[in-house]
Order: sequence, then C-alpha cells, then structure tokens
Amino acid sequence: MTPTIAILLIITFVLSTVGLLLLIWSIANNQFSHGQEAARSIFSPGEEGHSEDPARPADPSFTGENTAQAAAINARWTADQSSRTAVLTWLSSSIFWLVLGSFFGLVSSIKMHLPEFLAASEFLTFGRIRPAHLNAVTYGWASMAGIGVALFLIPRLFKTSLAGGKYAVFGAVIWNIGLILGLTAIIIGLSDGKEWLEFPWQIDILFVVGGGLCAIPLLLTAANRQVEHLYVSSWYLMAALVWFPILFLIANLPFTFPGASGATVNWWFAHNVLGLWVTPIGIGIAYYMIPKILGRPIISYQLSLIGFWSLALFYSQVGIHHIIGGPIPTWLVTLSIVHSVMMSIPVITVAINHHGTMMGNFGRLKDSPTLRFVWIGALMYTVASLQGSMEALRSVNVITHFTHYTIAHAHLGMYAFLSFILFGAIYFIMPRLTNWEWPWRGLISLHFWLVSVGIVIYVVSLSIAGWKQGVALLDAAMPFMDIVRMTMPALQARTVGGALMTLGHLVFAFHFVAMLMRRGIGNQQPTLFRPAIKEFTQ
Amino acid sequence: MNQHDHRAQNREAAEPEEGNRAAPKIVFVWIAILIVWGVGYYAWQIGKPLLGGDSRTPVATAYQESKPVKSSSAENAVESTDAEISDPEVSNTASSQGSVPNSRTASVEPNGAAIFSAQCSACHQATGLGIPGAFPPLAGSEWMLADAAVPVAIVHDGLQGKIEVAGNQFQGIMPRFGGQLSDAELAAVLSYARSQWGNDASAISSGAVTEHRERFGDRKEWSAEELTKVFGKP
Repeated sequence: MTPTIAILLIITFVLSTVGLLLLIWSIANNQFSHGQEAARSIFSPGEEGHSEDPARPADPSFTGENTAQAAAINARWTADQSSRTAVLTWLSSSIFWLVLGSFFGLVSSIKMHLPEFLAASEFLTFGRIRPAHLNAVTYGWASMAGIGVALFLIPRLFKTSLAGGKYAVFGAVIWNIGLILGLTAIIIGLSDGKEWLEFPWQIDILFVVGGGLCAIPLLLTAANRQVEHLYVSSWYLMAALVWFPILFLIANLPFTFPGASGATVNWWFAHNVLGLWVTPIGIGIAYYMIPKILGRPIISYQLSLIGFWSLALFYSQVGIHHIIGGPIPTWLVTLSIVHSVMMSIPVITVAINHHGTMMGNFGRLKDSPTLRFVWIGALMYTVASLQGSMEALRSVNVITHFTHYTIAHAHLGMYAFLSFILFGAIYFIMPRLTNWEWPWRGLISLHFWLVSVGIVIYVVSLSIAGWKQGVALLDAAMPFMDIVRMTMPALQARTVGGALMTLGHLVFAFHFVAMLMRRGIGNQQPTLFRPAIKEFTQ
Repeated sequence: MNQHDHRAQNREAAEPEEGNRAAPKIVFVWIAILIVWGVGYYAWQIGKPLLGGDSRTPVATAYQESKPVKSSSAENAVESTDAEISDPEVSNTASSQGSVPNSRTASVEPNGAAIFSAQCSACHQATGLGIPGAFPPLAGSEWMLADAAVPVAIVHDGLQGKIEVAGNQFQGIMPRFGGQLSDAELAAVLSYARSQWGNDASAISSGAVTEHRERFGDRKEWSAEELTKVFGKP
C-alpha cells in the first residue's frame, strides 16, 4: 500500500472516529447536560403529560385560563400562522409532483414486463420515463414536502414567527419552474446522463436559487429564536438544509469530474441525497411528531447526540459502495464499506430513542393517523438502514448488486421510511394551517391501507426475486433469458404494488384538495382512524 | 381570537423535549466493536490489489482450474493474472477476457468449453441457442456445420451485416478473434461448438486455422455474401 493512500485512508477514518470518541467523552463528563431544569423549561407549565390526538376539547385544564398555557398556545398559533403561506405552497406543489411521479413510476414498472407498452413514443421510452420518475419523486415530492414540513416545524421549534416567508414562497415558484424544465428536458432526451443528476446543469441553477431563497427565512428565523436549548429536530432539519445545497452544487459542477471520478462523485452525491438530505429530514420530523403526539419526552438526550453526530461524521463517505467492483481505487471502496457499516451506530441509537419512546404506547397507533404513519416510517428507517449496511459488504454486494434487490431497498428507504413520515406530518400540519379538520376519516384509512399493502407487495416481491436473480447471475452456465423469465412474476407484482400506491396517492391528493377547499361537514374533532366517541367510552 | 380558531393548536401536547436517560451500555459496546472491526477490515485489505475489482472473476478462475497444470503454462497464467490485476484497464474487463493467454504458441491443449464460456456465451448463450432477434444460434447453424473453412473464417476475421441462420434473419457484428486467441485455441473452441447441442461436425485442427491465416492474411470482417462467394453456399 503506498504511503499516500494509506495516509488518506487513515485520516478520513481516524477523524470521524476521534470525533465520535470525543463526543462520548464529553457525554460521560456531562459537558452537554442541559439539566433537568432546562429541559423542563421547554415544556410550557401545565402542559406536560397531555397528549395530542385523541381529542380533548372538554379538558378544563386547556381552555386557556392559565396565562402560561394561553401564552404557549398563542406562540404555536403565531408560529403556524407565520409559516402558513410558505408551507402550503411547498406542500401543495409536492403533492402534485407525487401524483405525477407515481404515474412515471408505474409506466416504468409496466415496461419491465410488457416492453411493447407505449413503445411507439420516443418520449415514453424506459430510458427517459424512469429518470423522470426518480427526479419527480426525489426533487418534486420528497424534497418539496420535506422543505414544507421544515418550514412549518422551524418556527415552532424556535418559538418565534417565520421571518421572510415570502422568500420561501418565491423559492417554491422557482423550484417548480426548475422541475417543469428539468423533467421536460429528460423527456425530450436532454439528460446529463448520470443517475440522480439527470437534470441538465443549466437547469440545476434554478434549484440552487430556489433552495437558497428558502435558506433566507430559515436563517432569519434561527437568528430570531426564543429558545435557549435547541431540540434535536432542529439540529437535523438545519443540518439537512445546510448539507443539501453544498452536495447539489458540487455534484452538478459541469466539466469538473470526468470519467471514473465522475462516477465516484455521482454516487457520493446520490447516496448523500439519501443520508444527508432526506434522512435527517425524516428523522427530524419523527423526533418531533412521536413525542408530540404521545405527550411524553424522547427518552434520551445522550442518544440524540450520539445519533446525530455519528450520522454527520460517518455518512459522507458511504456512497462509493455503489461502485464496488468498479474501476476506482480499492482503498476508496474499502473506506466506504467500513463507513457504511459504521452507519449502524446512528441507526441503532435513533431506533432506541424512537421506539423506546413509543414503548407502552403502541395502542395509540390504532387512532392517530400521524402517529401510525410516522412510527411505521421510523421503523422502516431502522430496517432499511441496517439492510443497507449489510448490502455494502462485498460478500453480500456480489449477489445484490445490479439486481432488483437494490430497487426494493431504495423504495424501502425513500417510500416506507421517508414518504410515510411525510404523509404523517402532512396529516398533522394541515388542520393547524387551514383551521379545518380532515373531511373524511375513511379516506385516511383508504390511503393508509392502499400505500401500505402496495409497498409491502413491492418490497417483498422484488427482494426475493432480486436475491434469486443475483445468485443466478453468478452462475455462468445459466442463460441470461432464463434469469429474466424467472424474475417476471416479481416484476408483475411490482406493477400491482405500484398501482396500489399510485391509487393511494390519488386518494391522498383528492383529500388534500378537499381539505384546502374546506369540504366536508366541518368537524370540531380531529379526524382519527376511529370515531372520537370511542375514546371516551374506553 | 376565539377558542374555535385555536382548536388544533389547543388540543396538542407541548413542544417535545428530551429525557435524561443515559445511553444504554450496549450502544457503547457496539461502537467499540465496530471500531475494532473497521481497523481490522482495513488491515485485512493491506497487500490486496489497490486498483479496481472485487475479485468477481469466476470465469477466469474456472478456466484456470480446468487447465491441465504444466509448469511452463502455469507460470504463463500466473503472470498474466498478475498483469491483469495491476493494470486497471485490463482488470476492468477481466470477466470477459478471462485469463486466456495471448500467446499464439501456447504449448498445452486449450480447453474449448472454457474458452466458449469466457468468450462466446455472453452472446451465443451457454445453450448455443443465441438470443432470438439479436444473436444467432450456433446449435443447428448451417454456417457452423459447414466446411471447416467457413466457421474458421467467421471467428478468425469477424462477420458483419445481414445473415440468415437456421431460417431467421440477423443483422449484427461478430468481432474478430484472430488477434486474441491462438490458432490452437480457435480450433479448440470451434471443435467444441461443432460437437455440442446436437451439432456433430468434424473437429478442426489448429493447422486449419494457420492455413486460413496464411491464405487471407489480416483482412476485414466477412459478409454473408462474401462467404458464399468464396466458400460456396453452406
């Protein structure tokens, strides 16, 4: 091993490890303790121990008689009102892209087992429609919904109004223009040709500007904060909003990374979109929603610290495990494999924190749509991430690489984890912004079951078929067409799952529009999975 | 502001916060295990080839194993494997090239089945049936079963353009293998293909390949018409 390479390798790993050990040392020595008193100050007086969703309109302690309680309610009200226009703009756009992106996905899926489907049109060939799906759901749905929820949460977390909300609205307009131009470019065949980076770089400038316009209100709001202690959700959300623009800008620099270094930067970016953009957003939201709905604190501040910093320290090197076996230095791949496995540290700490907080409250999943979506999302984060660490190992990767198994894994992360958490968050946010309850309980149930059954069919069928495909591909004596034929049932099952999810999105979008237009009977009670009356008879 | 206006904000719990429970010991134990494992994994990689590859070269390995071990050729094979691994370009294509020695004067009897698996089966398939519409079959192919000169010409110099094989039309490019495989290897793989999947044409000697090269020299790809003109209809 040449000295330079050894030194590079050692520095990256040692820096991250030393950082983590320093953090643990600080925790052990109480450097970070914010103390019981500081913690309590986050709770406004008299609020602790109450829970959100089963409605308690008749609860006498919450009529706003107590001045401190009234102030807390007022603070929330002010925070929500200040972010209202910006959040609604980002969320409405995201739902439009979700529906459109689902149809792109469905068409790609059908083409996998019916290659003649829509084959007459060059604009709808697989090579164009599949990147259109990826970009529409990543930058349209996940990113826009994520930014929307972040815009809602940050004023609440900082107990202040969103400053400069109009910049965020303007940012949404530019971002949407970017998506329209970018997707059109892909469909007419003008693509940068790198996965996750297909939008031509000239159009990427719009996303940088749109995202930058969102950073202004968030920074102003952070500067204006009324809290001493930053809750864990704010770390994740603020970090995500800092990391993503840097990643996106570097990866899209034109003419900078030719050849194999281009592939390296490509996958460095593509995996960091997952780990340093949508993951912190998803975890940050779950860290807010779970204790919020349950009305009890997240169990451990220490775990929050370890979870956040180990993600920040180890994630950036992970992406190269996508090109194991590629024409890049082996030490780079090895580094990435070690860091991928190190990712089990943040995953396990976050899992203990989330699921430990849930412990003893699983009954609440029967009622609260927000909690059910968010907790399933948090659980799937644990599953998908541990699965991802395994897939990075050379011995497993030799089977799963270039198979449908990877596709199942990607959807487990982006959909069952992130999208479920976003669904849950939107169910929570909308009543607070529109001052209206979700019109129909049945539609929430329908949405939940359609997308849940859909994603289960999708992930299970592709995981099994992908693994068998991977084993078969290593057998040089097996004709390629036999392997393709073997995966056909799974590809058809994928279309069924995808169709159910798309249907669920249509239901969700319809319900969202109905909510915006204030349809329905105008409930005074929150819309839960079961009629609220049952709550009182229990 | 009336009560009604705040009802959603009103009914929810406080802003969330963190408890003070200590992190479980198991987390620290796991971190320690991973750090030890990580350092160990790096250490285990020391001395492995630095550039490219994940040792996914089963075809090359299979070929080497199937080779009869004779001292001169074993050395030759080891050398060529080393060259492959230290050269990124070659190792990149290791799975398709195999470790078939380049020398035209290989002293051992080459293994036709292994060469077929490494060089031919990606297109013509292990079954010899090809892929309908894309790659012609070798099983029952009139060109393969014709006089030895025809398959030797196709594999040695390549083939381009329209061709009818076993009643189906194909249009594609068959690359030349003349520079890549020795005469003995070409003869071995052709003999193999002529005796498999129900084919039962005569074996081809390496002398036939040498003769072909002497007659035509280095020429461009054949077309189906030229083949018919020079060698007669198969």
